[in-house]
Amino acid sequence: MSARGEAEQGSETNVTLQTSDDEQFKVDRDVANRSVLIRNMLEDVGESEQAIPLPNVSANVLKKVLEWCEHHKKDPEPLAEDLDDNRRKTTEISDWDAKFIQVDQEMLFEIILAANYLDIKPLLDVGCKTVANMIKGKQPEEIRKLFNIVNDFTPEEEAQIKKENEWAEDR
Amino acid sequence: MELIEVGTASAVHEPCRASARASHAAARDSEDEGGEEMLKTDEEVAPKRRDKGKGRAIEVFDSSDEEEDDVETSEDDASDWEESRKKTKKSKLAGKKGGKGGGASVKGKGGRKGKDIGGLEVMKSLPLELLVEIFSHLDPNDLLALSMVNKQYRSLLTSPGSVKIWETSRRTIDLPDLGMDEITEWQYAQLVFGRECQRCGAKGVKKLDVYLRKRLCKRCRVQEFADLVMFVGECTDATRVAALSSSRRSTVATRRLSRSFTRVRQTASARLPTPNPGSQSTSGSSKKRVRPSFALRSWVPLNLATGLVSIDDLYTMSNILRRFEEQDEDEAIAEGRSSPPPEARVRKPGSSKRKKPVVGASSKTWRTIDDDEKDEKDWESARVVNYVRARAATFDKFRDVTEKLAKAADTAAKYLDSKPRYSLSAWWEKPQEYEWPKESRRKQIADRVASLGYKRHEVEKIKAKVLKSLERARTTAKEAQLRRPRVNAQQSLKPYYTALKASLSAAEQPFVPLFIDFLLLPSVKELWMTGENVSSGDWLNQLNAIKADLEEYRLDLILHARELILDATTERDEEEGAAEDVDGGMSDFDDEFFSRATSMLCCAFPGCPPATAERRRLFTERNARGRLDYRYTYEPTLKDRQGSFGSLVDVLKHLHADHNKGGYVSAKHKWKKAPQYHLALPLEIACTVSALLDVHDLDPATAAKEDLVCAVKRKGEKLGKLKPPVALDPPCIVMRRRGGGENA
Repeated sequence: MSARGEAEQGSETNVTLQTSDDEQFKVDRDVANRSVLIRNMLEDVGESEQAIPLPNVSANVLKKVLEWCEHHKKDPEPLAEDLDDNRRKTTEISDWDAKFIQVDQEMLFEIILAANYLDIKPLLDVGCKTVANMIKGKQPEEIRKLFNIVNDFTPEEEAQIKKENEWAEDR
Repeated sequence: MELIEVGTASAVHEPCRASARASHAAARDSEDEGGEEMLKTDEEVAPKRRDKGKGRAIEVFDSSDEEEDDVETSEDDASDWEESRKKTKKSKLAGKKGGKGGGASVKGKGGRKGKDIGGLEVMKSLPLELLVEIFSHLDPNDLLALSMVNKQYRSLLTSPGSVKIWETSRRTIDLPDLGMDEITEWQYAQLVFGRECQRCGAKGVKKLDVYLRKRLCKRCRVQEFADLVMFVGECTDATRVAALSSSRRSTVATRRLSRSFTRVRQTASARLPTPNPGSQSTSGSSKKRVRPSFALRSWVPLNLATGLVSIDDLYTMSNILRRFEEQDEDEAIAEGRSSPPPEARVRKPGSSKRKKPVVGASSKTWRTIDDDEKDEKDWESARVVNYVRARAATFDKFRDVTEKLAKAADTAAKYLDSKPRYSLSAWWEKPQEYEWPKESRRKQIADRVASLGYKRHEVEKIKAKVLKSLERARTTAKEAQLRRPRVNAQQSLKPYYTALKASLSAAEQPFVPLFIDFLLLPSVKELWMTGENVSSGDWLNQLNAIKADLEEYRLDLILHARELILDATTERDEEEGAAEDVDGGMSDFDDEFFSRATSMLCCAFPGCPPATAERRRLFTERNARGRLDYRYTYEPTLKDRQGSFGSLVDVLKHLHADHNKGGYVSAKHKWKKAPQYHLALPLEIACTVSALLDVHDLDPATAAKEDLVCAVKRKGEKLGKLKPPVALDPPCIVMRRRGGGENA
């Protein structure tokens, strides 16, 4: 895991990240590279002593995200073409990831946002799949409860929706 | 909650920030009576969000305009998305306010503390792109459910921009593309996954009629579709059809049908190659009745198996014809044709043709056309050929769709069957967040029980049991899932165990528990209960704790052995036992104790000694009728026990040598148990020992093993004088009845 090292100054392979609440994280380049956003920034900026500001991510979320990056730092880059089809086909999450994502809903929410912002596709997938798995197989009423949504259909509208399978032609 | 949502939304969507803030303020105003809960949430969350807002000020990519531009250029239908997003926001707010104002509908919010509702509430405030991302992992069935949740989701999922979501999710379960513009993705999903009659809304209609492309209950099916076979005979007799149904719609439908069918018939007869044109012009009624039916069979291949045809399809057909007519009419006017067909004249676009086509009149009109047909034959035949072509194309399309739909319905049915109702694995992992399925389950059960006719108090009584059994089922599922990995983890510990044992001194080794007991030591259990294979790092971390546990086990083992012996020897003579108890306090587990004769023990490992011991006749006695009655015993003798009894250390060595093969503990009920000692002192042994001591006047407190050995060698002399017990196979004495007076 990334040592939270304000004290020790970085070697070449280290990258310093600065969160929204001004905490600094020092991580391996490998780990940081899991984030496409950071990777691109590093490529643009080149070697630099300066901390990379991540104004959308707070320290506790970044810590969690880096934990994921650390574990997955050796994963091969997915090929562009099978990215879309393959990852959607399977709703399964690896054991480690499943354990990793066992957090409360606020944290899950933050992780999804952070993964999106940092552009870590696999992590975003893990988050989204987790949420999707909770929605799966539920009836509308159950989904309403899950999200705490008020049903704003009138009974007539609801009945209408169910019938709404008129073919578009000549109507 | 609303405040959180708005706050987050503004943090994520720069473009919406201003409007979100405005609504934020508005929300605050409308929130006055909103209760402490709301305020609390606000206080808790607001500071965090505000920080975020600050951090954002220095954000690199923080130009709201740019971002919006980016979105618009990168996505094809970005404008759609933008629009729907705005709509989404609005309807979200509207829905919220409505909900709060209503009061009755906020039951869910009141119950928030119970946590059984709103397990994913925060997710509502995810930006749209991410919601869409989540949706893309769902199957069409789930999307269908989502689209019926409320207006916001409905407008999102039925908007043209969301076609991609549907396509992706369809592809994940291999549903084919229909390739039809007339049907939206949403309708497709509803067609395939819906469970309600699309006409009356009756529930539980499983069958989709792929020919008709509708899901209808039996009653509606009858009303909505015309029996083609019936019409073949009576095509012009529309009044009879009208009489079949009293509903307005079906009357209209029937009229439509009869009209279009008349045309079908008419054009069919016109098209069919007739050997003798004269026969057609005579319009012999018998021929006419046969021909159209034949023609229809070749042209309307849709659902002749059941003899039904969709009124919609017929309507489509007649529309094609109508278009031709109108076209012809235009041409006719252009050409200055003096006499277009009378029917066409009547049917001007926008005229009252749909509202009041008098059936009788129409059939009459057609008869007139039949007469006209002769005169305008050329004109008519060209028209008919065009019509036939256009219609054939339509039918080809329909047939194509029918096949695809049949496949899709099949795929969908299989898919639904293969899916578990609830994702068990997800909600036992986080029971605190998954309270709500229990709630819904409870309701289901209550409903079901109520439908069985139980009274309320009876239901209450049953409820607890049902819930308990649910709970049990859940635990079972959980444990079943974890068993395999745990067993694997247990097996991965074996090498460490062997190494650890080898590193101990010879004196200590026997006191190491067997592997299966070793696994149950608390510190070792921690290692494998995770279900992950044990790494050397984990092992080393835990090693000290394990060693402490081993030491404890050793002491417990000795205490246990001592207790066993004391139990056996003090049973018959309490004073002696009590004296010994005091004498041999907890402190001295000295070697002296183990070398004593009284410290004789047996191995109690299951299946030891092996069950090969023969049945032996124990004793005989005369029963009430004076006949000999044999009693048998399967108790192993000392001979059977050869090698598995002796002093504690001997027995332990025997355990390690013969019973340490077991590699894992798979039965979950054993996981909770403490390690076992596998020691026993069967009565027969204890009796033998005490009998020997007694007979030879040895003092149990001081007698050593050698004394016993000597006593055994001098067998017979004194033992033989005792009657009973009977000496069978020295030194074993089997007593009469359990625990019978061995000294009697």
